[in-house]
Amino acid sequence: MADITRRDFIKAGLIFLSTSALIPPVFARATDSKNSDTNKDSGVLFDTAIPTTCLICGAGCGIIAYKRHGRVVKIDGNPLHPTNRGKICGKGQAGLNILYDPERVLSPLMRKGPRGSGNWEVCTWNEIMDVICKRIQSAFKNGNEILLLQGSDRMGNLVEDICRKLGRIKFLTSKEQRGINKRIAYLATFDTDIVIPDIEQSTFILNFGANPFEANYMTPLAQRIINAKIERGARLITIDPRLSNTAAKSDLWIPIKPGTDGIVSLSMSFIIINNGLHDREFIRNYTNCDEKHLLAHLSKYTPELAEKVSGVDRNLIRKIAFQFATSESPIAISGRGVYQHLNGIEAERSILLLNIICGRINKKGGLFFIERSSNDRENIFSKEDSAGNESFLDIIRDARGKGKKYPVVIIHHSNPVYSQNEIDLISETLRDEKIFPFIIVSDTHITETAMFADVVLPDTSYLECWGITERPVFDKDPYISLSQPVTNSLGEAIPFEDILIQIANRVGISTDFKDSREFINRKIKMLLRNEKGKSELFENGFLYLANRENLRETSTVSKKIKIHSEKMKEFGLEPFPSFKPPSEKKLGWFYLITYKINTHSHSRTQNCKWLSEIFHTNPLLINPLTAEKLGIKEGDTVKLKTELGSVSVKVQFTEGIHPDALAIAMHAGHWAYGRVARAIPFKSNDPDTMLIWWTTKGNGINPNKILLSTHPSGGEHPFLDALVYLDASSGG
Amino acid sequence: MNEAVRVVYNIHHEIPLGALIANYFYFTGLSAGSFILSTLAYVFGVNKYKPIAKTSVILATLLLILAPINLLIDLEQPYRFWTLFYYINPTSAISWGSFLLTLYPLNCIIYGYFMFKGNEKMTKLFGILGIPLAISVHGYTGFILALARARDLWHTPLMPVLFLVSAMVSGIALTILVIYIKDRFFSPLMKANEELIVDLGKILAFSIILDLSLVFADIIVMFNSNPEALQIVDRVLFGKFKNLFLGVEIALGSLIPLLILLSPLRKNITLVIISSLLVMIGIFAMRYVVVVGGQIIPQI
Amino acid sequence: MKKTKRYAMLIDLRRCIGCHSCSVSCKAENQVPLGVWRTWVKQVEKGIYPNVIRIFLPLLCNNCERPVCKTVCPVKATYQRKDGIVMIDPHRCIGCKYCMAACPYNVRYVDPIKKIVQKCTWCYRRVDAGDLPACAKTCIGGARIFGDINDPDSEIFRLISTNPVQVIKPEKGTSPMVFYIDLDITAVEARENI
Ligand SMILES: Nc1nc2c(c(=O)[nH]1)N[C@H]1C(S)=C(S)[C@@H](COP(=O)(O)OP(=O)(O)OC[C@H]3O[C@@H](n4cnc5c(=O)[nH]c(N)nc54)[C@H](O)[C@@H]3O)O[C@H]1N2
Ligand SMILES: Nc1nc2c(c(=O)[nH]1)N[C@H]1C(S)=C(S)[C@@H](COP(=O)(O)OP(=O)(O)OC[C@H]3O[C@@H](n4cnc5c(=O)[nH]c(N)nc54)[C@H](O)[C@@H]3O)O[C@H]1N2
Ligand code: SF4
Ligand code: SF4
Ligand code: SF4
Ligand code: SF4
Ligand code: SF4
Ligand SMILES: [Mo]
Repeated sequence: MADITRRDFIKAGLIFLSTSALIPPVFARATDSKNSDTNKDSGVLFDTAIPTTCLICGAGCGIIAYKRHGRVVKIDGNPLHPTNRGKICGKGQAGLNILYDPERVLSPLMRKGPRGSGNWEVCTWNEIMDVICKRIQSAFKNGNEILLLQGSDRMGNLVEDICRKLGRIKFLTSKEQRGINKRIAYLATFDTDIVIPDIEQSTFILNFGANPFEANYMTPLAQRIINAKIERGARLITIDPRLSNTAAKSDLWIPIKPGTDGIVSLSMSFIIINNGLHDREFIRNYTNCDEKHLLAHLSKYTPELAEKVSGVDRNLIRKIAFQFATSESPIAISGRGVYQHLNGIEAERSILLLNIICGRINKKGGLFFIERSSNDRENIFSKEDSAGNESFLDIIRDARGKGKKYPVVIIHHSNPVYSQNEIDLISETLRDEKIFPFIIVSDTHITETAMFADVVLPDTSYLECWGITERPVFDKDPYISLSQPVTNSLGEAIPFEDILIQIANRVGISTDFKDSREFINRKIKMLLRNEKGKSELFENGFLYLANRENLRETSTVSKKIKIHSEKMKEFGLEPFPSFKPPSEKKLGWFYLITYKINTHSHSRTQNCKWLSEIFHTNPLLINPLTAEKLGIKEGDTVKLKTELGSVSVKVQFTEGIHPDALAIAMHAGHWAYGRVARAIPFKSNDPDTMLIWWTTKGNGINPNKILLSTHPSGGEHPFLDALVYLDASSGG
Repeated sequence: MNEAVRVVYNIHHEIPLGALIANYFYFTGLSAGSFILSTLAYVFGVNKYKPIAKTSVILATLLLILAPINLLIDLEQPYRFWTLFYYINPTSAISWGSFLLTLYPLNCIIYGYFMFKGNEKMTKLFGILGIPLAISVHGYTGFILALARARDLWHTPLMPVLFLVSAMVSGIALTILVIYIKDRFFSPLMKANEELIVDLGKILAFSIILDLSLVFADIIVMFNSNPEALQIVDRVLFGKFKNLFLGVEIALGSLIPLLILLSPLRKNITLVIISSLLVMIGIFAMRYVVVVGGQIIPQI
Repeated sequence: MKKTKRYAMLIDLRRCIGCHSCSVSCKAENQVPLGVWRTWVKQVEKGIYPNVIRIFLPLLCNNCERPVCKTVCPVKATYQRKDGIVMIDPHRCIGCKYCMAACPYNVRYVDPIKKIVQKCTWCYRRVDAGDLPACAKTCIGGARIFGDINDPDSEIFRLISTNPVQVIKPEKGTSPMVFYIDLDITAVEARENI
């Protein structure tokens, strides 16, 4: 069949919506409410509805974009979509703010004036392509490699594939900040990194450092946990130094000293096996380790020691261990609070161990891991990441020294100057034209990173481009989710992937597809076996690939689970899940936690008016007891110091934090990006931008300036291992 | 507030009715007070008050023409004000106001017209008609507040009464001031009618006592009311509004004038004038405290 | 005999995760400007470390059975539909703000652009077309349940019949039509220091 055009998809969408029983009433109101049009005090009218995928965070929820007269007027969840089942979060709702942001970059820009000055000249795509291609060609001619950093992938490895074809490109993803530790732990244990928690069926959920009610896989995961709680009476226990919203809605919040989850979970495993509460048969049949060895290894992790290290009461550890092991279908989950520590891989493995010894693998309410069969290699799931890759900071350090200097640096869909650690170092380096003579940034906004760019490429947002999401996050049956443009690209925006294809073609590399649309079409063809599936995909926005029997509940695990993993040695770690204590804090020093909140995604949603209106500033959270000892009053400004420097921040008291810890939310303190993000009212075609009311409250601070990136074993940035000195005297 | 409870997120609520509304109430109060005072002579035949009647009726009329301007400015849709006359809602105190605010100044004008013409009979007739109107005009503003069920400071049957009494207080004070100025500077004799002023001072003192007892009663009951009411009283007595309420309304605006007016000093014209001035200020403070202070606690 | 329709909302606070999705969805659906809200989620911390909780309390117009806002509106711009939805006629409202002062729930606001008073009208357009209100539809926890409480087959009827439910400030006599499961009065009464 010929390529489906965009028009066809919309038509397909229309037919679907008006014939299926799912959304017709919603759809109907568009046609019969013509008369009440003047009564515009409530409710959007629409004439078109197109299913696509939300890519604002990694969850990839199915959404429907409602349009009227060609303009997207409302985004709702796709009720059919297995990931999110019709729900979406506030960020997803605010997608309109991204698409129609008056401060979006909508034409190619060339730098005028020194780097960082923010002076731009608007130019045409032709002009900018000439400049870019000349640079790249000359780099290649001189035998130099160029660098491409991609923050997130929305098009099924398209960028990576082209880079591979081009050959002389160093391709980098920001995996140092995207859970690589967790994936290493999974790979080492299960030989796969696709692990699905069947949490809706669980009866006891032990949560170490994840915050699914705010971050994580918020929309899909939170609703499943809530259902488990209300419908199944599941107990939810959250271990977190901070009272996250998840902790707040848990049956029990257990504050813990940061970085010590590993020993608590190991101690629980010890108690469980020591008391014979483990699944003996499962360990014998499906793991590579015998009980006796394991017990011998675990016996050093007594609850007494665990209490000493973590501050969690030993009796509580015992009690939870018993409850976990005796509950009908328990599960232990973990989040960034565990794996973005220096000891993240081991801690992650320790928590997996709890699930394994209780036989919670591939069982109802437990963890389902999806083995990578040879079929899967057909690119259905993202390729296995080789661990321990270089990170952007490594490149930066290298380039500053004797290492490699890249004549062309392309940064796509990533804002390292804001989001990574040691951002002063990154800024300094990007500012220096001698180190990186030519920087290309592809983004939707003039980000902190783009401020150092020589050219800025206006990319399309997730609502204006093609894509395919291949993560079967919450269903044991694999499905794919489609991204399709729900509107014409705004301004001069063109998908970066298309630009990259053109660049490749111009420097003499042929691709077997002419643009991203064709690529996605082929990808779909490859994934699907019949045409019927194709139209279904376009109508519903997602498609189940197959019902795979081997993913059903089963007690058989074909490969032995590696409790004892030789692979760990590659990272200089013990083969058995073990505990490495975090660095000790001295007097006056604290563990600084940074965390995500429910209404923002990373660095990228702060120009969304509806979101920044709710959250725009990030005071330092401190326990009043701690503050009292230091003579700090609420509202004081204090300084946080590390060897990298200091940041000043306002203090807010909360009873919901461990006295040894301080916490600052991420997502604030932009110094570029846009005026909404910086709390500055301005005139635009949207009257709301004059109504920004939080100006006096300010837009908060970015703590990443003082966060060190000590080289972790797996490559994950230890965002959570920051030890900071709290200087109460230097207020003001 | 309980130390262990802390609001970590809530939205900001504008206070819907502000200084303009307080001002509106102040003006209608002054008007109604002046009017009643003017009827003392023509309706109730207390002849010694005849000299003030004309002044009072002019004041009453002017103030009542000014008063609704406050309301008008406060409307978000001022050009729709006229719809108040044909979209009627009998349960809404403001809706009653549309008619009172038309009838009352009309009546004032007619009443004044006959007074100046020297037609005593007609003056009396329109005076009699005017009394319930004046009471309603100010009473209704009390009802505006009393019927707003949400606000504990307002939602009391005392409110219309309190408003009427305070209207009397402010009306008398204003009249004292005006006739003093008129006689002292604009009359042929250039001399104030001391006897009359001292006499009015007595009525003023009596009204203040009545007013204070009502305020006192109100506060006592509020103190023994629901938690929200308690929080409001707390703000009024000890918080944001304590200076305005205790300092200006009670001390400056009531107690000091009362002390003067009940002591032998009451014969001192200057002091009576000062007292009247203080009373005027005090009543404005009262309007402000009631209107704005009544909304100071967010409902949620 | 079939009873007349009476729309109501039940907010099951056990399910609310404080995600603000409802408030943002409402802003999008109803073009609510910055600085004002038809619905929001108040958050209150209670307790002393480590025994501390955070309470989430979604708030919106109760579309009361006996709405005091309607009683006090001088021009009858605020009116009530047969199904109970309390409406505001945008062409009629004079913006006197009396209704705002009279409503015990602080849920009305002056639209800074249209210069009239607005509030939640339960997305009557969506509801009339058979869809859920924008907030209920997206509610991640499934906390907001909307429907006809006079319909014994409705989920809201079932939940209200089988659970203890509360309303906020029943003593104000407006008969609120927003019901809560697991309402903690501390969260209602907690106020920032003024
Ligand atoms: N709303 C929203 N959702 C998101 C994102 C977003 O930006 N916004 N980003 C997405 C991405 S890329 C990621 S990586 C995930 C992150 O998802 P999560 O890992 O769930 O979220 P975080 O807030 O980063 O961290 C989780 C919790 O770890 C706690 N914590 C810190 N230190 C420790 C510790 O030592 N031990 C324990 N037990 N807990 C600790 C923090 O207090 C925090 O509550 O979220 C994804 N989803
Ligand atoms: N202090 C602290 N720092 C952290 C974290 C923390 O919790 N605390 N979390 C860390 C984690 S887990 C992560 S994953 C990272 C996230 O780090 P970020 O780099 O902030 O990740 P993103 O939000 O993906 O945003 C990257 C850029 O993509 C741009 N963008 C958005 N949509 C598009 C698009 O369609 N096309 C293009 N070309 N660009 C687009 C955005 O404008 C933004 O500039 O932050 C890390 N940094
Ligand atoms: S959780 Fe929210 S931001 Fe993330 S994909 Fe779903 S709707 Fe989008
Ligand atoms: S909550 Fe307030 S605005 Fe809503 S109907 Fe009730 S009284 Fe009226
Ligand atoms: S502001 Fe509008 S809706 Fe409210 S009482 Fe006045 S006219 Fe009625
Ligand atoms: S029902 Fe509609 S108008 Fe009311 S709060 Fe929900 S989304 Fe907003
Ligand atoms: S969307 Fe639902 S779960 Fe989220 S804050 Fe609103 S009511 Fe609570
Ligand atoms: Mo991440």
